[in-house]
Amino acid sequence: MSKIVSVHSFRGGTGKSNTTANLAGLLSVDGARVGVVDTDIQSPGIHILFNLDESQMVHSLNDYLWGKCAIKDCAHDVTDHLGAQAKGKVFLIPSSIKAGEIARILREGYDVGLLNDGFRDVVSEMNLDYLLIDTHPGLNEETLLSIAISDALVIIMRPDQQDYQGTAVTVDVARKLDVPKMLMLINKIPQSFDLDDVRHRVEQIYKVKVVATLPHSEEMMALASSGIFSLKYPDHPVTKGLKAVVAELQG
Amino acid sequence: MRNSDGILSFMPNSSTKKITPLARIMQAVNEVEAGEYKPDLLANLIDQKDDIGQLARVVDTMGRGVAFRYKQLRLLQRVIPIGVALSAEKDFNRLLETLVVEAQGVTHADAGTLYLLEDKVLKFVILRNASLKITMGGTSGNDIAFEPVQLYNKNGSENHANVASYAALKHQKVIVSDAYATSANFDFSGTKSFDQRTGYRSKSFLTIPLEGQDKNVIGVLQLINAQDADTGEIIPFTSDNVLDALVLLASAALDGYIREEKLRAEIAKLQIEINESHRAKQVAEITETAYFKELKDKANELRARGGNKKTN
Repeated sequence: MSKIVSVHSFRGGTGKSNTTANLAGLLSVDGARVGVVDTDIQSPGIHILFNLDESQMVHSLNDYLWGKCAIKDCAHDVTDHLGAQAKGKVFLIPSSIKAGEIARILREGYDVGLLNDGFRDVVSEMNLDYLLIDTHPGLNEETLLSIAISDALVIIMRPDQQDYQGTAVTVDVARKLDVPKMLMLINKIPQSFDLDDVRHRVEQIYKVKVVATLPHSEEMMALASSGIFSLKYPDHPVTKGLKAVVAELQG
Repeated sequence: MRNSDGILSFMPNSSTKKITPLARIMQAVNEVEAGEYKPDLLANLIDQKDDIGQLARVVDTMGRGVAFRYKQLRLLQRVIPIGVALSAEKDFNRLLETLVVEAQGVTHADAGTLYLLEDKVLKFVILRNASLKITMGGTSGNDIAFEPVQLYNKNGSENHANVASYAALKHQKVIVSDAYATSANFDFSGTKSFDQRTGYRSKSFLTIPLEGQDKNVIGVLQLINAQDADTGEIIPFTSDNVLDALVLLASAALDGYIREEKLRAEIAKLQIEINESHRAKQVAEITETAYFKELKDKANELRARGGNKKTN
């Protein structure tokens, strides 16, 4: 039984793409066939983590939404770009990084239903165990849809006042969509915070299971999205947190 | 100074008989100036009933006083760097331990205990006994196996029976010359059972409350069995300016450390403020639309169908 997992946050800059890429990496190392879709059409970025540059992009999600190709034509095998031995596979469906194409799709909009069908199709055609959706931040039609069709929702939040209110709304809305599994990951936590205290307080207020509290990491900053952190630093506390999320998704 | 043979002589024992009384007094004066006065030099003279005797008595008193002040000054010169080091100490356990070790050093105390006050209870944090070679708490890695001291009795009255809690409640230093003397006003049963178990003989006690900048008691320092510097005999503790200085500096360092920790803990607490009514309103704005209801139905339908299946 395959799983569609949305990785979402109310605001940008929480580490969504990074987390999605890491989850994909870790799942594939365990032997899973993982698809990753960058639905952040406005500001695509996850391709960088997989070292996929413009010259290597054959088709993007934009092409599919414009009816130019089938969804599986957009799936790029990035398993060899992980920098680690994986028993499984990672396929990336990137969003176009050409400014013109981004502007066009934002201007004209797209068929959200078509996007949804695309998710379904790629899971069956590529035989995926997981499809990770790297969503656009905030609550809008596309993100609501992603959440609605997901089997699991990972909500990422930073301990920042600007994130709290919006995340609370997101949690409530997701609950109303009957998402089977919802979990939170608190990211970029300052050194002076007690991680257990953070977990406890967030769970108390949002009534959602907090699977990982990730401390702010200098090494992560230094890596600067040039690779998959958890595969480079298998024993780092941040990696341990990410593995806890993986375990929860696998369970 | 030289005697009649022209030989330098400084040793009182061998040459006291050869030096004239006045010369001896002059020697004593030199020693006083150098801060090295030893009372034996004038011991024979101070009982004399004549002018020499009077002069000897004056110089002797002066000498003892100066020697004492020199000793104090030297100790203070040691205490001030310790105080400075304590304020900079980042390791809490080392801070506590240094406090006790140095206080023992200054008073030649064989044993020392440090309590910290937490919620009306004095908890043992450091325990050291040189003769028994015991170190508990601090950086020793050994847990303290003693019950904490309650400041208040079960009926709410102040616990004056225990010397540490008395010192804390009264903000007063307490000196007990002999814990086993019937005149000792405190309950030393804990001490006595410790002695029985270990074969130790706790005798003289000095119990000092440690105060923070708001004059609140943050802990109690207890020193046990002061030893005479020369004979090693157990003697009572006396009021000591040098110890007072050390306690002041150490208390300031300890208080500073505790305050900083508290502040850090306050800042580090995650403050999540959510406007709940606003939240409910925003949620309703999204979920009470027809679009949302449609979405929800579609989603449930998909799940009911077992939507996300792989084909193979």
